[in-house]
Amino acid sequence: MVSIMKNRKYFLSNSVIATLILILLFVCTNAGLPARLEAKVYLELDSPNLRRIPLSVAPLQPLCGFEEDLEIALEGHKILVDDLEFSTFFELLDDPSRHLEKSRRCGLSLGSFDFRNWSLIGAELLIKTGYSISGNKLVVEFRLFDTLAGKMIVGKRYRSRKKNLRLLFHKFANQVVKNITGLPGEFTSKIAFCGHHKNQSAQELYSCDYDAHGRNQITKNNSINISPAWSHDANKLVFTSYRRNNPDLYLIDFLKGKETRLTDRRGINAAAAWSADDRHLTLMQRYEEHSEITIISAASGETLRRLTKSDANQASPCWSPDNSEIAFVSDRSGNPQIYITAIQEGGLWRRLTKEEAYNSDPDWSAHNNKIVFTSRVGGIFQICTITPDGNNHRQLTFSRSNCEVPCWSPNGRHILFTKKISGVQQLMMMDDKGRNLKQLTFDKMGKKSPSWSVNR
Amino acid sequence: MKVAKIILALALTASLIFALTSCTCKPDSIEEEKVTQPETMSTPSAISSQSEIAKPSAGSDEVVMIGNRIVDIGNKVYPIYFEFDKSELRENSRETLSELAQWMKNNPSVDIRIDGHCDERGSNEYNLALGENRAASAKKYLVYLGISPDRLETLSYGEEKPSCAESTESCWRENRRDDFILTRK
Repeated sequence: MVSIMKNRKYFLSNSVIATLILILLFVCTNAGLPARLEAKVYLELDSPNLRRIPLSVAPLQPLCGFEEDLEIALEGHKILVDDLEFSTFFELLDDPSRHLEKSRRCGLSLGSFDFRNWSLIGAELLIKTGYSISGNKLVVEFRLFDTLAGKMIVGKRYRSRKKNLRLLFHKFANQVVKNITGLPGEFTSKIAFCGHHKNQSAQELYSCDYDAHGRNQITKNNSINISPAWSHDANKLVFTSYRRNNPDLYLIDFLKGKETRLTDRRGINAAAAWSADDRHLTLMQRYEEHSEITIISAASGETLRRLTKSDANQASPCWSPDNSEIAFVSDRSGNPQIYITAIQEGGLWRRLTKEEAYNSDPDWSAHNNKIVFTSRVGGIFQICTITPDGNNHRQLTFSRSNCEVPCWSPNGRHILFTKKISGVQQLMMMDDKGRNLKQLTFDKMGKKSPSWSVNR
Repeated sequence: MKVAKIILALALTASLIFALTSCTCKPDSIEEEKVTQPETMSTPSAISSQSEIAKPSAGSDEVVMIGNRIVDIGNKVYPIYFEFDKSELRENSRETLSELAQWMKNNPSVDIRIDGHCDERGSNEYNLALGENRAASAKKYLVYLGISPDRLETLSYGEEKPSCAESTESCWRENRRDDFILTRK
């Protein structure tokens, strides 16, 4: 079937007759299709020449018997298009159905419209969406179709309040990515970051959606709050706050609506990162004359292990995907470099970065096993990736202003980082190859230390 | 040409079959889900920031302060400054700290907190460790000069509390510093 899809694209560009032959072929082979369509692999993610699958999002239509609401129809359509374009997996075909499906009788379900309208313009996937509004209630029905196979891949009906419109559409966009690639989407994830205004000493924590919508202030303590980190279930956030004149570690449990102080060791309690099961945290704490890496219980704050004991400073620890190792920064060589050590006692260190004199802020992706970090290249901080064996060092940004503190998206396809633009640190995103650069925020508040959650 | 016509006929038949089979498909089954917004994201508590500390008494008039931050003792100007990515004391910083040590000996009731700071360049988290080293350097020297460690606290702000907000060399120089805060008069 995959080969037919490839062939088909070739034929399309040649002649309509050829296309029709293909439909014949399709009908002939239809009987032999596997019953479980979900099992089909649409995108081979490891392929070096990954192509974007052409996809159309049909204009939204009211469900049977309901009034049209143009505002909702346009907003919903835009959310789906923006999400799927951002995912890097799809080539969005620009709203062609305005010309193709004029008749209102063209419905949402199989048999109520003609796939050829879509396959002829090159769309291999099609999303049809119906909605209804009554008072505050919003119902949205989504269907993802394979236009070549003439089948529905997945259908979902969501009920919610009207104000959750963005969430509903993001949810279905996640579903589309999941069905086509097997990866989770990124569209109901949250970003936490510290925000500060020029000439004000307070730094509060904020959160927003992955597309910068829905910004919300998390802390309101008028102190300095830094280094937020989401738990893997995205229900908790740890951060460091100076509210008691010491950088102590705090935990917010959003489900319980509760905040607790986890550790208040004199000196430093900062840069915490969650283990995969959310039971442990690794962080930097002051011991004797240096900052060291420790592991604590995320429930009680009790110190379980001191991982490093050296005559240098250690900072910014993060877990390997299997939680057997920790990557961190140390200046034992005289300047900050990234090292990896096993979490067993007496684990040897291996130095990961060798290219530049200043490397920091590692983040290790569970999805692609790459470590993204900040590297000072020619006096300017840039974003780089490397594999844990020290190979495949790649510089992803070539900016004239500092790009810093990168972190991975929940599926490892994107990197979030900060960049100074016109004197203000803004949030930026790019894909894992450094392409598709996007500025996420534009306001005057400086933003630091972003953390990207899984889908909530 | 003839072949093309045959193909066209076949194709049209095929598309007809296709259209018919499409219509006879079973109605699509759709999963249903009720969606609620995740918990709202705001902490309930608003804990007050650091409490105000009283100004020194009239007896200690040789010290000049802004709030509780020491800015001048006996014509030695504070804070003390550091080189980029370094926490070693400069020679003139040692002289400045000697003046502070003498003043602390003359005023045995005062306690000091040393706040270590960095410029904005580099990793915020690594700079936290560096700021602590800068504060610790000054503390070590004051202890060497005979001040009890019990009277000296250290705190690192890393690059989170700059005294100058511009991205210029002169600003960075000003931000790589130890501030001296009076915590008990």
